[in-house]
Amino acid sequence: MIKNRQELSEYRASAVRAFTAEPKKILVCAGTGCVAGGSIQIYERLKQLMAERNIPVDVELADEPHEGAVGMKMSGCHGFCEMGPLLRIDPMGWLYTRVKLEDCEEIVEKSIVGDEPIERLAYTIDGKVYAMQDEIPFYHRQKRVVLEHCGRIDANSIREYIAIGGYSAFEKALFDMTPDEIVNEVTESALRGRGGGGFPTGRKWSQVKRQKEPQKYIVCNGDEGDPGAFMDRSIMEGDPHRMLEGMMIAGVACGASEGYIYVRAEYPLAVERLRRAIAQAEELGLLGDNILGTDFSFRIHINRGAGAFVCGEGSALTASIEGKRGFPRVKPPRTVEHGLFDKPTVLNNVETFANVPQIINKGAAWYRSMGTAGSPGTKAFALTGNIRNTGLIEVPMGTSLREIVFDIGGGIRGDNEFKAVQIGGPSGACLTREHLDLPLDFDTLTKVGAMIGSGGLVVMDSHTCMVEVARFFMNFTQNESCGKCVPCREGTKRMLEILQRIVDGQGEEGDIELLLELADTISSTALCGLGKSAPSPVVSTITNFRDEYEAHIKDKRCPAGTCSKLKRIVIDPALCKGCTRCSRVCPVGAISGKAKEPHNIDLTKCIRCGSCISSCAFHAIKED
Amino acid sequence: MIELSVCIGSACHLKGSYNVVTTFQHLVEEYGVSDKVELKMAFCMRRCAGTGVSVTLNGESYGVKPEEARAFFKAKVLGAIEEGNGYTE
Amino acid sequence: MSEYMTIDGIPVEINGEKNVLELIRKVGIELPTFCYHSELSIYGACRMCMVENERGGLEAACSTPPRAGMNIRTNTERLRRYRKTILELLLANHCRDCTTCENNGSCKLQSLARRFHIDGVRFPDGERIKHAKDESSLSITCDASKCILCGDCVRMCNEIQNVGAIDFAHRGSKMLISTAFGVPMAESPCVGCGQCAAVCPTGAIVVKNNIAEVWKALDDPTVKTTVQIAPAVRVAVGKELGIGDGENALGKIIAALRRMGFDEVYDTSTGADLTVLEETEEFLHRIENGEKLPLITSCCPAWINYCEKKHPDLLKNVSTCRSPMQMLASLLREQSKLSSRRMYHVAVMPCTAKKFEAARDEFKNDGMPNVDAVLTTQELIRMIRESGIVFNELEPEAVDMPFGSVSGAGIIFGVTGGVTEAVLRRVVSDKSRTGLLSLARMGQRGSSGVKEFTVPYGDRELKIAVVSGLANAESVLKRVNNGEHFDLIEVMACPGGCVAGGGQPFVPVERRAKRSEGLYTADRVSSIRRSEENPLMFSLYNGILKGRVHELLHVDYCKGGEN
Repeated sequence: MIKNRQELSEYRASAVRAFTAEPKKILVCAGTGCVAGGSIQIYERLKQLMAERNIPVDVELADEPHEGAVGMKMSGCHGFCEMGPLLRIDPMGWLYTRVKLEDCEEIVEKSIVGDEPIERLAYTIDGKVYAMQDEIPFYHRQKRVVLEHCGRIDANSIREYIAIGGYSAFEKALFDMTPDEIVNEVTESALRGRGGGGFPTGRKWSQVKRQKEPQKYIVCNGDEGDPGAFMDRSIMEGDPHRMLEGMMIAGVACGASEGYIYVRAEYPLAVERLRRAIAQAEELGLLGDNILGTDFSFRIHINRGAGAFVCGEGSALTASIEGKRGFPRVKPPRTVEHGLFDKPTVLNNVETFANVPQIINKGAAWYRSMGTAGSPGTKAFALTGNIRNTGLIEVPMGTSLREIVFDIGGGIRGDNEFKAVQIGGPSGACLTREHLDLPLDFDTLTKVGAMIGSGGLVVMDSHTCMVEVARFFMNFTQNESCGKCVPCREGTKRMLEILQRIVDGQGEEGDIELLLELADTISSTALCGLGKSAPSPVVSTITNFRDEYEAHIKDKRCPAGTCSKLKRIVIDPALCKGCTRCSRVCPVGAISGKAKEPHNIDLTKCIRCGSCISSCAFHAIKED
Repeated sequence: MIELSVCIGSACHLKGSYNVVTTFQHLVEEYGVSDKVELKMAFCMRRCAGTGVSVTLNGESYGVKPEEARAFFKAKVLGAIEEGNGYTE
Repeated sequence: MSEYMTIDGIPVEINGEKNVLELIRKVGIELPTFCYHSELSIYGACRMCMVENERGGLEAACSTPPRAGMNIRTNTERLRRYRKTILELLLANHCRDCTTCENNGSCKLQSLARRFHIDGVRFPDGERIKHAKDESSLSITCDASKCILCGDCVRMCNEIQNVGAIDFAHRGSKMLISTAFGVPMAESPCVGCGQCAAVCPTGAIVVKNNIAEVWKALDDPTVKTTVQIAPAVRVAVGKELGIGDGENALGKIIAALRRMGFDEVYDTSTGADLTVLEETEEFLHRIENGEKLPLITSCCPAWINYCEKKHPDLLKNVSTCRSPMQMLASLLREQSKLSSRRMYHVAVMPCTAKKFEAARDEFKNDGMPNVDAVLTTQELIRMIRESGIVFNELEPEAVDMPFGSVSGAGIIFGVTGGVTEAVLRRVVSDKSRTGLLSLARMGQRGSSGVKEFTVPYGDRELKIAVVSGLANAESVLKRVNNGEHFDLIEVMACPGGCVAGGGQPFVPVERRAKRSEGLYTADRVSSIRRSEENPLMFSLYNGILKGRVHELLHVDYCKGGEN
């Protein structure tokens, strides 16, 4: 239990000693993706091998430097998920990719006992071998600030967090700054909410700070419902203390004594790491009553979600914590005045809170030196889709799309062409070729009718059908609509109906206009952000790819070739021998023709199962 | 039969004669003495200036305020039944 | 310094209105809404009341507080377009068989569709249209295919009535209003007050319709049909039948009922007089002995149901008196034993809960209910129309003897505070005319949901509470359970009393006062003002009721009645 500032310094000093004394550190990536790839087994096997060779190992940062002990740690997500399971060896900074259980012997032999990197496990592209993580093109162009510790420290250790400087910002805020100074620093930094809203964080904090009500709350939105987004998950799993520290600083600034973290139930690992982090902080006395001997008390509770995307909306989230139905409510009253349990509440995203400690430590000017004038700082993006290097990246705001897709992402997978990028998930729009050189920040995207959203980036190539993309997102939104207001509940359903018909080959003249009309009504009249932004993917794809829609509707054809109901299977009359084999295997009797004469497929009956194609000995049947 | 008359002239009306009547009716039921008591309403008995509502029990006059009606019944009327028979069978 | 905002170019003074919607009404514009009710919390879900500000931004008028300098328009081209689309979306998932709907002609969706001239629905029918009805309750019928999910019923049942029998279930387009676990309404905590039906803008929740069986009895010559009319009914038919709302139309109602074929017509106020006498005796007895106080009134069946479900421990405090409807029915039943024909007794009530009160085992005689059928005011209006009777041309008539005598105290039972005032008129010793006037101002009158006051009696002060609306009742009962002392508590489940009952034609809160005033006026023009002055009472007690007061006029709820 650390009782005052002096003891904290002593604790930190001893942690630093232990940390720097480790001759080598092995950081096995224990983010959800790599865990699924078997990284925990790799961790255990390495431990076992080192024990067999009598190599001293520290699985936990020791109180006192343990002579020559190798640090064996489970770290947060390194971000290069495409190449997982990942393993890093410090202080050399080597990164091993696609590690298998069988590789462990060699790793111990060559890199732990010996001092050689294993080239075959290093990242190789275009013939070049990159043994050092920081030189890999994927990493080289990134600026990892919020994610700086992910992959570099033990995700389960508060001691290590403190060793690398953690909780020093909290210490500074608690002892060396007034609440006004803290809020000013955050305001000066021009940090904007990273959950999608982009609201100036400092302004939000000052609005809560000036409420006279004594009981206030700090709430962290860890619901991250966008399909394909996992930035917040990685922060919660990989560097949970950083987020807690941000919340605690907010508590000092605004005068709040209670914090809540709303984590979606589908993130069990994040919940586990957060619980452990909170317990460790309480044990050390950094959370609880009279922290570090001051009269500041702060407690953090974890609330798990229950499977509703709409509970990522602020008022629905607070309703959910209160045990009520997850309905958003009308505003006013606003959350900053009447939020959780009707008290003034700071509600911020995980990434937003994770930005705060370094702003306090290094100052607003440092933060503004990164990014653009209107959107300083960095942003974490989840890069997914038809791209070579999928994973989690962090770049300064203002980085161009081209850089992200081609320099960091490695370009389109296979030999296809870049078509579009869906940014912002189900609330977002798509950016096309003409936007490749657009600097990505809050304001430039708003000008082209798109938004950064929470940071999910889905890359699409020429094989992606944009109508299907619109249908996919509308399906998601429709499922997740809470049902309270008419435009979203009934309107998105009808939009989905129309999109489904189009994708099934039953589009009608006037469908596009009807979609746009519904989109206008829903986005203008819906009650909450989910409804208001639900039509965005549809509108954006119609604006940029109207020809695809028209092909589906008028020609009953899918230009990308993916919509199954629109696939055309044709028998080449030149090759068909009339052997009737195909008509006999067709399960729906769609093939007709006389023996020895070329056969025909009735596309209205055809279910595109492909049995005829495989049955034809003369390769006369093909997909068009 | 014991004769119990309550005045319902205008002065007694203002003093609550109907209250007294219905209270007596209830108590007759409560004590089950409907075969022993004949409850009547009568016109002005010329005792307007007295206190309470003018009530005659077996010819004797009383002034009964509505709040006192229950007590009056229990004491006087039940008492009269106890003492023996009424005037008529 | 007064503040102004501009609506459609007209400057309007802001006078403490909670939201822009109320201010817009001041300018003489009726913005369309489904989910807005002044006494319920703001829901903001129908999105029909959006208005446009000068920057082209849209806000919902019901949830936007007015600010000085705001400049909005209520009827731009965009707004018209959006309103039509929202209506079209609602209609697409709604049973459009209006001609066979109970609520045809008084449905808000119907009237707004007409107002905005919806001339087509471009979407295929949604799944909600195929939902089955729930007809299990005796008081209301629920039809999900007509529900627009405005949430008014949920908020009424939860916020105002504290019953919570219904709420939203499932999410998104599969959302429905349902009881917990989807059980039939009759098995839910529903108390039958019918307030949900009162606020439902469509025909999703309607009052149960018992008209057919009454017509059958009227056509049956072997049956003697009698009917009693509750106080609150007479001041509520005006709006629908072409005379003023709040006007006492009893005379015409009686005439209409006779034309429809009823043999005898009576006034529930007669029963109310009996209730006053019995309840006062009970009250005075308890006061004298200091036991089982507070006395809680028992004439509201929804309240009895609520008490049985939520506060069974307070049943011993509830008065053992039957309700006026049941007391009169009891008498009529007794009397009809002398007749050769079987009596079919109908009660016209402002109340949906009376339908199940009539069906309770406690009010049956040899297995036959004392009241055969309860018709609400709405059903009465329908029957009058069905008969083709032109209501305002009727000549008023009077009720039948020998039960034709009523007092004003009996008539005011229909308002909240009426029962209490009627009882107090009997209890206090000052029987003068001025006494009546000062009694009127003790604190029991008025539309407030909780009214508390004291009345001197002998050497003590009686502490009295008058509540309407079950959430209000709950707050007072909580105080009783915490040890606070009351002598008498009047509980009416419907906010405002029976004049605003579930079976009455619906009027918003601001226009309810006319009905209460109508009843107080009827009381003022009665010759007999106090129940005990009703000469009928004396002859009843000497006649039919002799020796049988308890059997005919009282009931024991503690034995656990049927829902």
